[in-house]
Amino acid sequence: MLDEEELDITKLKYVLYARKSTDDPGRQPKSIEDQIDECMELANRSGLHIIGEPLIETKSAKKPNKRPVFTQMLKDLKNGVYDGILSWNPDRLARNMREGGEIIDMIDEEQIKDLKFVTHHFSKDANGKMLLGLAFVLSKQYSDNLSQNVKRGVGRRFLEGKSPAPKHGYFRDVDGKYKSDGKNFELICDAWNMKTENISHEDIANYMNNKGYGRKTKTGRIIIMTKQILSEIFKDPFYYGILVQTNDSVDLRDLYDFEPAITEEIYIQVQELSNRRTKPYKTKWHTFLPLKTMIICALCGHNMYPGASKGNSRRYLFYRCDNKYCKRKKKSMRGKVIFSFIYNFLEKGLNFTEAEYEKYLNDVTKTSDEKRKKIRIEIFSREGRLKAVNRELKDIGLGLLRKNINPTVRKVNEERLAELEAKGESLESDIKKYRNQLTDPKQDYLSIEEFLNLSNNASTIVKSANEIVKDQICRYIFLNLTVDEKKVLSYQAKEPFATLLEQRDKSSSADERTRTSKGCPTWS
Amino acid sequence: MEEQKEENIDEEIKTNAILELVFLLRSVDINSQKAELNTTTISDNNGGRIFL
Repeated sequence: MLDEEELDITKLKYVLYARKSTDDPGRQPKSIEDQIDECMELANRSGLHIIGEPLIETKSAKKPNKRPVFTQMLKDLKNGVYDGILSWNPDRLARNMREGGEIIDMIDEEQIKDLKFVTHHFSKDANGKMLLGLAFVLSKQYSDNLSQNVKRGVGRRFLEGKSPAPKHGYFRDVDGKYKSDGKNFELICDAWNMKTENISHEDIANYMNNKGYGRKTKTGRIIIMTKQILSEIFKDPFYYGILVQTNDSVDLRDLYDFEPAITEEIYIQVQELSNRRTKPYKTKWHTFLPLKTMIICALCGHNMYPGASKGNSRRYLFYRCDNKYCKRKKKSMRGKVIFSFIYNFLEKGLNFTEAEYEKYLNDVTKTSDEKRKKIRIEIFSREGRLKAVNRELKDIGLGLLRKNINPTVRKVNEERLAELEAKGESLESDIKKYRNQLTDPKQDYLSIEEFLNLSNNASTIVKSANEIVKDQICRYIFLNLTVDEKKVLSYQAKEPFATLLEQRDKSSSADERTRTSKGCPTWS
Repeated sequence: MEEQKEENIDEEIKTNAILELVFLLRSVDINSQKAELNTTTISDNNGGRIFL
């Protein structure tokens, strides 16, 4: 290894790296322009030879593998395009230990011959590397601390009844408190009243839009009412005063002069109505046949529909082409042929890599939080229904205690009582089920080994799954499968799996496959 | 950031397909009693099985 005394820095090729994350503007002391100016000043003063234009990054360095410019710069350093890096401060290079460690490792490997900073003196000896390591540790601590403080701030604001979540019919004042939004608020009140009269969501949405309902976002976009938005609104206990977040809920009526759109009674009444509409007592159970509209006849291009053969002994799943003009001799094909193809195809795994794992980790927290918030709202909604059921149970029970009751009325009431008891039990079981789902969010996380194992075991998992999950998994991966009279001829995969599987197939048995178009590998 | 959240409220959170698939794959118990049965058959509405 070269000692610093032997190093002639004027002969080295430096790259200027400046970074300012757009995620946290204003928190960093130097703009990109200031960083470059000060670095150039140092370069002129020290006689450093800068190669090319300064590299500018706008991504955060908090998590590894998130900065394309930085990743490319390290590759170029390894390939000898540059010898050293010039930057404003070590925290511009890394705020996480993986990338900080990589830089120190590259110094040890002589892939980075020197580092220059405006605000930090680096020397390429044991002490210099220790100090650089400490600078990375401090950068990480700053970043972690900031994240902790922001989370704490959000939590505190929530307990004060302040939340960034916009709500229809309300606006947030300068303190972040929810205030009724004039005409929109009145229309939201009307909507709840219409719902208690069992008017359809479509009619309510039309009524509101005709009356001029429109919520303006901060970007100026106007959101009109739809039946989908109404479905969410009619479950949300916020409208009688309970604000729900991922891990908690607060009663806004106790915190400030919050104006509820409805009373808790109306909320309970609406939950009860929703229950009646969505859960009929007698539902007909159809046999679920997988891959509907996914199988295409190679001869005529029409969909082949699934069916089950009729027989006294064994029944078989088949896919049938019903196009009367199709020249197919055998109109149907056994499901076994198609599923054998899928099982074999997935035998080599889904080709997930570390990059997919990073994407997964990035989204899992967000999804998990959103899921938990929805579960909390479902619990509130079912608790509302349960209250309504218990109230009716009590009324009917008291009525039945009367002595001179008409036998027909008694029979009807007894039947209703049994029905309500069953419904109450079902709601209690639902609430219990939802409460069990509110587990520690960390349980949702997979380690990289578990993640890659799932990818490699995809075939076994699809085999073991029931018909509904089989169907769902196949729909995530495939757009369709084209079959002739004997076998699966080709398939179209959906992104990102199309690209992943394409790479997998290229690196393995490329000779067995040909390509038709991008993202649509054809198996032959 | 707040504006971003404002935009998101009325739209479904777009999660990536990998995440959704991972949730599904995790939900399957490959050691369950039914796993082997599911390899070659699916269930029908009468509690019977239909061969693939």
